[in-house]
Amino acid sequence: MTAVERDPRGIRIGLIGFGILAYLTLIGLPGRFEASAPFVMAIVTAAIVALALRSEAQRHPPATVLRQALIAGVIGGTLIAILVGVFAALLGGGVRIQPVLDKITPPNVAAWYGLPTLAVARGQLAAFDFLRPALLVLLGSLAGGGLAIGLRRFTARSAPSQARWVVIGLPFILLLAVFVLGQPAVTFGGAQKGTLRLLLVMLAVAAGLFAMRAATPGKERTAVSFALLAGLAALPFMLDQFQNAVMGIVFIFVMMGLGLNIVVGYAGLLDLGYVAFFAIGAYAYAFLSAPFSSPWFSQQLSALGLPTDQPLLSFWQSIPIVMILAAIGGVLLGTPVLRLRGDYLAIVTLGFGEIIRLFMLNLADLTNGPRGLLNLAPPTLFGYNLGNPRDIFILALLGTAVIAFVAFRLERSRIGRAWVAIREDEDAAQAMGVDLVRTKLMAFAIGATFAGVAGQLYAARQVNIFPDNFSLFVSIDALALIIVGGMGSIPGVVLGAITLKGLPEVLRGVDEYRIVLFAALLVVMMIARPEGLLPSERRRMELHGEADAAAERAS
Amino acid sequence: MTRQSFLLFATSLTACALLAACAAPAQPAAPAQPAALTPAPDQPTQPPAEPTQAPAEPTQAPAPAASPGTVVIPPGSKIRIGGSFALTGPIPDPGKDIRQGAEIAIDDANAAGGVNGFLFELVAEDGACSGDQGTVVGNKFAADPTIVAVTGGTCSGETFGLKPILQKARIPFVSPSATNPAVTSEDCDVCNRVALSDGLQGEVDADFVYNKLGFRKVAVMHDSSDYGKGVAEIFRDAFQKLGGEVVAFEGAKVGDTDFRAPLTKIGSSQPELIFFGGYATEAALITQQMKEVAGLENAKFMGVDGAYTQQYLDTAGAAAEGAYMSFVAGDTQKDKFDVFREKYIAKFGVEPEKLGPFHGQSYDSVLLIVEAIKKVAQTDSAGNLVIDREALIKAIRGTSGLKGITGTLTCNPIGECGAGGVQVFTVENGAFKQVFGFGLQ
Amino acid sequence: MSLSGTGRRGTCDCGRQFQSDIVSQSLAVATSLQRRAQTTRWIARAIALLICALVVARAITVSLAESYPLTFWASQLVNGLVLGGVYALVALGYTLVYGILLMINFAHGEVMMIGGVAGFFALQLAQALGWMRGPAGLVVAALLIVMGIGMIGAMFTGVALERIAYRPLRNAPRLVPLISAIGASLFLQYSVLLIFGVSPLVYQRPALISGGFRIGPVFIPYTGLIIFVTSLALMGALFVIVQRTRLGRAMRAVAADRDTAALMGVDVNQIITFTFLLGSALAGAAGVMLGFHNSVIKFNSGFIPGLKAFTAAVMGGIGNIPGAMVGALVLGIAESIGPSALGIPAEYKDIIAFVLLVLVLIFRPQGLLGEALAEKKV
Repeated sequence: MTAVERDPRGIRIGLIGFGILAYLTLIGLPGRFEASAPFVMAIVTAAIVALALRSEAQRHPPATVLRQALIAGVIGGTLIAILVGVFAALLGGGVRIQPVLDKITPPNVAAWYGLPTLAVARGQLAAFDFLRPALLVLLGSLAGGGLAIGLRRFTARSAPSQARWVVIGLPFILLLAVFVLGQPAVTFGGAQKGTLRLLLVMLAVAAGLFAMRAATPGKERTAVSFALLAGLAALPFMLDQFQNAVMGIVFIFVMMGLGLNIVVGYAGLLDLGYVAFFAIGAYAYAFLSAPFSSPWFSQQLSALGLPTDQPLLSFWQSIPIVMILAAIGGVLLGTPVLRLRGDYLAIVTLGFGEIIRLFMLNLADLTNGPRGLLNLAPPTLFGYNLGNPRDIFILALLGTAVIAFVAFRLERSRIGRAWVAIREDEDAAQAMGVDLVRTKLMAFAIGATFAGVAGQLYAARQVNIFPDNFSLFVSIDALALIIVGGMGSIPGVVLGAITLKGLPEVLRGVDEYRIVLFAALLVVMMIARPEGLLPSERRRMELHGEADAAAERAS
Repeated sequence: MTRQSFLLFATSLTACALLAACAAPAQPAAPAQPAALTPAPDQPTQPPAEPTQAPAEPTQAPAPAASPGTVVIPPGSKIRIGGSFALTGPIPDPGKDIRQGAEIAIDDANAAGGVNGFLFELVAEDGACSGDQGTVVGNKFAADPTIVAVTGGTCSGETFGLKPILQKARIPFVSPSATNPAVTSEDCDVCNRVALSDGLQGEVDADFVYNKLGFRKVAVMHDSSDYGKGVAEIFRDAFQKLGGEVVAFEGAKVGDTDFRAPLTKIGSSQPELIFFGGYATEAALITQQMKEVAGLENAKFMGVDGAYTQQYLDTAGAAAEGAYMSFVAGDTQKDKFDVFREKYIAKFGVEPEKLGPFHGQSYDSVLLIVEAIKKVAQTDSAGNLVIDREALIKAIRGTSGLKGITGTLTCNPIGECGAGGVQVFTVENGAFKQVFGFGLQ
Repeated sequence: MSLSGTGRRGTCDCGRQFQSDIVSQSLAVATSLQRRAQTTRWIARAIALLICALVVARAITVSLAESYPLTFWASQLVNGLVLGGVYALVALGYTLVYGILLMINFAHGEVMMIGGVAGFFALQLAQALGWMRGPAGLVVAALLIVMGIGMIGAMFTGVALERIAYRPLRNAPRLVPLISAIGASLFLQYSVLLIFGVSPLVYQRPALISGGFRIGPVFIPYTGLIIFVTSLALMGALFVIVQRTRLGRAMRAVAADRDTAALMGVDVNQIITFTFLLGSALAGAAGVMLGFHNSVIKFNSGFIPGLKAFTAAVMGGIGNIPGAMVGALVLGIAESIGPSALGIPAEYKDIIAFVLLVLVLIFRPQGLLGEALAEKKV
């Protein structure tokens, strides 16, 4: 390859880098970092360039890589300098850009220059100042090139074989760190301590999942599992209210994800309306525990001469009813779609999910419409109120344990194998004597039951529920979490829930950017690692098998 | 083949039933009752009878160890007041305005020295004008033991989400702008508001339409929100009581943009006026689209306080001319308001009226909370500021004769603290002009 | 291709007698299965007829009881046709992409929304330049330019979407691109929210197209008429492109069999890009016209119409261009007339749409106009 052919790569990286940096500017990220913005933007540039040149660095000498980084930096830097310069000039000239571009404000633009806000607002920029972003990006880009070269050197070395013990020990070290950080005498970065702890907790749980996988099957794995379970059981007592609240919602989604995992992961029935069962569970519990909130129910109760300001049943008494209702819902919604496959199934279930939500929105007499059912009773045990975040977290852990156990057993049972069979090939499975109707309905019913229980716990945690709590996005969240975690894999569901429901809470500081970040992550994840973070063995082999086959075809 | 799984299913069901049986004697907490938390109002926390440790370790105060009935703020920390504002959702601009009004109030309180040297901090969250987001915000505040009181929510639905959660967590709130009558109630001692109730607004509007405009046949629409549907129902009932005819009562949803189908239905009965309970964007779109519908060519439009914004005028454009709009106005104190307005413009670079109407009420909500905290806060021997939650709830409810921007604030026994009355405006040359109601000369 | 069905591919190479045994057995199984399938089909048909009869009966009793004037129905029909026109333009994008890639481009509604946003800025510029107050010719030209810019914005988004989020996943299992599309949809929505703020973007209609005219007592807004006529014209153009041009033939070839088309010298990547260009352009036009018709565009303006349009595409028979149009019009009319005809509140219009979708898919999975699809596609 000659230099002439290689240079377009540098130009492309420069343009892509400019695109990303311009996007970050438009959504107002530099302004968020205030004084440290130039530093952060340089790091972002370095990361982009290093990623883009990573494969290049494997094949070419450092000089070539650096030259491309230089080209990328010059191009990206010049364009950014022009863009930011135009904004600065406009703002300095008294033009208000904000009505059009919401985030282009003096603080945001000034952050690029590392100057005080007033300097931009009053248009006091020297000619040299306009060059600052360009220099910044250029430096970042060169650093990225260097990083790419360095990374190649680093990855060349192989990891030591004791890595397994490091992986197994890591969760316990993290748990210890969480414990130590919780002590009153230990301070770390003032107010950020709570967030850091939360992050460590999630890392610990995630590391625990990997540790289980890393342990050799047999006695070692059993021992590690029990130790990890003990650590997990200790968690609720180590965390404060907020951290417990976050972990509670994470594990409620794990319960739901485990149910969806049966439908999608095991049986291969793509269900985009799974939220319907979650909603059935939540609303069933709401009617039972707060009948006074529903106009129709309170009317019926007063007609029967019953008190309307009391829950009808306690949390525990409601569980069987919720399970049965959700299972019935699963069978009712599952029956009409038995004949459908693939995308059609997805879109019909999506329709069902929306229909259920719309009914809840519009059946104002029964569900109180968009105004929601309020003031549900918390779970109680022997007169002790379990409505606080810690106890909800414990309940979610218990629920997860029961559901995970049932799912684990089901996967290895006859019906579990039948699910896998219809996932792989419906016709072949039928020819082998698998009863499609019963097998599919079973998957829908069991999945729905799990979601119903999760919905009940969610409702008890939330105190109030509204139709908007059960929008399509919940289905998407649940689906995304099993896909990110790894389809058909129980530990994958836990990991997925931590990644998708937990991490955003850690990112509270950058609240506005959560969803964008999450969405970008989803796309990147699908491209980079479609089998999920912690895939089931079978699934990983399938995907890699297919990828190999595709590579064969292409060559 | 499915026996095993059925067995599992059955076992888990039985297990649940057993658990239920065991737990049955537990008495579920009655709704809307202060649950679990045991307030100890008679015991002012940590009486100064223990001088042994206090001077030795001023920085190592065991802050989180306080009883749940109190908030203990160690020296150097701030008094955290939560805020639930509709920063997204249907009325982002008024939500922002309310937040900024609250920030000015916090600044003023801090400029005046705070409480015993402790400064205030506003913890702003996005309640999104909806019950579900209000619930999320409420749960967040309830899980945060440092939140002393809450200003908000902006919308009624949002506030209904906050209400039971804050009631259980014993955190008092003052809403600047939630107008549904049921926001305050006898069984809720933490619920207060500065805005006036829609009970009044709906009736004044009905009186205006029936007696002043002389209309006898109207249609009522709403956006299915707590706020919109609530005020629409009050208007409908009041108008029927006066002897008028309500030919249609149609719902839409917040976020809808095409109202032609329900408008066509309404048009077939040819009402003289359409009353809409809801927010600015939907109100503006209805104003525009009703001109395109047979039977509504000459009908007037009337909206309520949620639509009384610049955004309504901008979106509806020329179609807004002649529309009516009512507002639950405070008894604005000109001198105080001018000072406030100046600070507001200096800090945010925009006139408050451009964003929304409730900035004064928002300032006063925070003022009310701050004054109540001043009354009940005590400094303990370790230099911590101690606020008793029950005492604060009583202090807020006991507010009387407080001079605010929107008049003299006195809370009645159920937490209605606002002053003022209902005003009716009409749109003339792209601006609101008052034609009826409170304060009109 | 990995999608082709297995199960009846291989022939047995074993002993003859054994083979005949298997054949007779499997024949028996097959006939019993077939019989069973036939009975379920008949039952399904009966249920479908019953539901139709019930709906018709309900509609008749309600309209007799309410006694709306005829003009009322005519007005609602106009509303429905306009709504259907918008859905149709978006639905075509779904149908084109599904026909060729067999994937649901979940972010297509957002492509429409971004078209609307781009059009909004073009409109602001045109207003600032005073074009909207000029003579009628200038206004029409300016409106066409606004729409063109909206279409370009949408095309850019659509192609970028395909390059970044879908192309790397072309050989992945079905679920993977769907999740990627969902991610892309959220990303686009919330990026627009972050960049342009939470307040809706308000389209100011120029005097030329505000208001409308009357046919008898039925009022027809100009914007509605423009939407309907433009969507018909664009659909006609699309039909011609797909059926009569070289590119169209290549598209159909790729849809039929991507690998074989590639062997025949069709540049598959280029054709797919072109498909996204076409679909996005139509969506962009829909976005701008929706902006003019309903006055506001905001970050989530594309989501529900996108969902409805997908519904329409599926109802009409996905992959089928006239089907998408028919499905969209049926959906639009059902949504606007349905609530009054069935005597239920207007809030239920979304339920009507989804129930219709579910019913069509259950009782006629290939859609209203679709041919029975090969198993590969279902």
